[in-house]
Amino acid sequence: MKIDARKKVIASLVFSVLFIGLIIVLSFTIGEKGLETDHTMKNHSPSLLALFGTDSLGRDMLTRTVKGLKFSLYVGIVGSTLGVLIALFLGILAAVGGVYVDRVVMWFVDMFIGMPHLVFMILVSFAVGRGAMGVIVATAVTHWPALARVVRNEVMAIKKAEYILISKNTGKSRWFIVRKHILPAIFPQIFIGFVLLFPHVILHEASMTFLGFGLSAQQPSIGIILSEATKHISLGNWWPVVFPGLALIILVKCFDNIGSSLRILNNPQTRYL
Amino acid sequence: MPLLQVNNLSVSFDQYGRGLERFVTTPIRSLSIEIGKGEILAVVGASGSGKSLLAHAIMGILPANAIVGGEIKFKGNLIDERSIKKYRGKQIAFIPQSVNYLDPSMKVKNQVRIGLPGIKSERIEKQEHLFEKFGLKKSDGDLYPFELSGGMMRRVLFTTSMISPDTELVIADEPTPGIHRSALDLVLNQLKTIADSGIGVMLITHDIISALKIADRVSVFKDGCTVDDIPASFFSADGESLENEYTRMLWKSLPEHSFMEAI
Amino acid sequence: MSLKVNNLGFCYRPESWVFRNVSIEVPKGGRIGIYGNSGCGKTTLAKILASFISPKEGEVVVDGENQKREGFQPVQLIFQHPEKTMNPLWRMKDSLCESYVPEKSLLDAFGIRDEWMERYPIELSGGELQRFSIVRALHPETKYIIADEMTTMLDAITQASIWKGLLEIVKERNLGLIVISHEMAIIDKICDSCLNLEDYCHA
Repeated sequence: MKIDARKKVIASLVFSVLFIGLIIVLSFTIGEKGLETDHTMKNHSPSLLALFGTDSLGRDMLTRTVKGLKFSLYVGIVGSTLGVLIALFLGILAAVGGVYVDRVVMWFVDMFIGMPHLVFMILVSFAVGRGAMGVIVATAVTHWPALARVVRNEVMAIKKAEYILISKNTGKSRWFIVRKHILPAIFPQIFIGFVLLFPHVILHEASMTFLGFGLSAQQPSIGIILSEATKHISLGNWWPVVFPGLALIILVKCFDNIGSSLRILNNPQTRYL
Repeated sequence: MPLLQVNNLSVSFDQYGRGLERFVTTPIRSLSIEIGKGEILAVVGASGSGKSLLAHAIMGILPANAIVGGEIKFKGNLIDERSIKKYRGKQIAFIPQSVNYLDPSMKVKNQVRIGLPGIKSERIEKQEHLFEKFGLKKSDGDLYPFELSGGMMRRVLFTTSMISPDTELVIADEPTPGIHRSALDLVLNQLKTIADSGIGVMLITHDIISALKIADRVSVFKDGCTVDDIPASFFSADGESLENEYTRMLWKSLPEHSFMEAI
Repeated sequence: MSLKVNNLGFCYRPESWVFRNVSIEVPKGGRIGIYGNSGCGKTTLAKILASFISPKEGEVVVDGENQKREGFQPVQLIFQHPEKTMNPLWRMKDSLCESYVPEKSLLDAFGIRDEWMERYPIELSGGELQRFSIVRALHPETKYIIADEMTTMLDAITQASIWKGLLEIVKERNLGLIVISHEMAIIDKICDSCLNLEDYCHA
């Protein structure tokens, strides 16, 4: 029974990684052809010819979905990486910089957490200029605060450890201590934070494009697909909504799965359950 | 019939290596002890010899990946992780070793009061009485665990062990390290009084000198095995009556005896 | 040449002194014991001497110079719980060689075996770890060693063998030694003189 738990966690981890890998492979192997309008193929329901069906302009929904998810992943990676870097920098700064630096940084964190995400992202994406760049910057600058707080608390707890005090007293520099002692110790938390940031960023990317901020209508993006498809749903065309929506949910769930699995495996208290 | 009987106890840990690979470590291989009513058994041995694990095995508080072998009998009844629940904190009281067993965000006086019976005013009175008994000041109750010194913490742990009228066995895990002479005597006298009232006491310690002041018998552990079980009176000045070589070495290397010359 | 402490005082809250007016002088090669009740600030004093924390009053003078904050500290502290003094993610050889590479003879003096080097701290016992933490503190530039309840958690045999190893090195290098312990017997066996910290307590 004890063994099964770990196998289960690893199985769900493997499934999630495979699913994400499948999307990445597909997004590079599927041609652009499915994105062209084809009036002979309008509003086909799912068939062997078009697995996810076609939309009102005759575009292949499978191709659009996969290309849309590719964009989601792209925004997700860039957005979460930037978010993690900001969180890491500010979190460590707050923890080792002294009381006043800590207060200022934490004030910023609280302010960012207090602001409604979506409104703020729309503002940022306007300010940066529309297009992919706007979406990426907007998601990056809004998703770091919670992680920054985690990093700060982790570092706060660890910097009082006796082995770090000893390291300092044998003449090691602050930079050495941060690099060799602190970063490796908080790496698991950072990595898990990074993975768990993904679904957030992806969902926000989808909501922004759904609302029409960010990309132009020709570019494939889950948000745009969904907002178009809602117009046709009253005609009984369920497939342009269901498949892309489902794919998005599964993708997000996969990242969530990876994050939680890693957290379980990393935590000594849950490792053996 | 002895109060507590441990026969051939073994404790192994099922651990994960890299990936799904697993291995088993066995810190306790074969421990056997016996405690009668009103008897004080001192369990001594090197750190890592399995003393604390023995207490944890009896109390059923080993981590989830532990595998326990052998048998533990309390008043003739076989006990395991499940059946210990009806004795734990009632017939069997446990004084933990580590200060980590206290809640860091709660004043110590409130932590002590939680386990005491009666209405609020009775509990306050009881707690203050307990503090006095262990030489703690009334104002110490307002401190948080991080503000206590090692010795004060031990005494607080002692007061939380909830020795009640039903208690028949007390297991004290290292109640003495880092504690000063006068406080030490308080703790030892308390254990002695407990034993005199007919309660069996298992005193886990590496402080042999203190343990001998009150113990009836001494059980010596080494590398997870019981190597010696002798009456406390065998420990005399030069240690000549100690037949077991390890026990004699342990005795002679005490700073009160030959210390470094024994090595 | 000595480690000199002048009128040292420390408090966590204003005017609530843990101890005050503590003056000690440990000459090179001297051995002084500090004894006292639990809670009288022995560990706090040790941490001040090794410059882990700053005193609220008074000063620590090491070989004629005021204690510095940065760089290698010539006063090294050996803690009570060795498992807390090792980075749990590092192999023992990395922890040991963090600040200098000890000679083989030093490792032999403490009975440190080669096979322990590749292990992680949780795979060693308290006594084994304490040997590492002592060798780590015996940096060539170390002038004074403070042993704060160094062997309190260990059994008598390990305790005696660790002290034997440390005292040999201390003698050989003519280091100053401060032994902090609640066990009078150890201080009696090792030290030239002894100070009861309780006399300076204001609690």
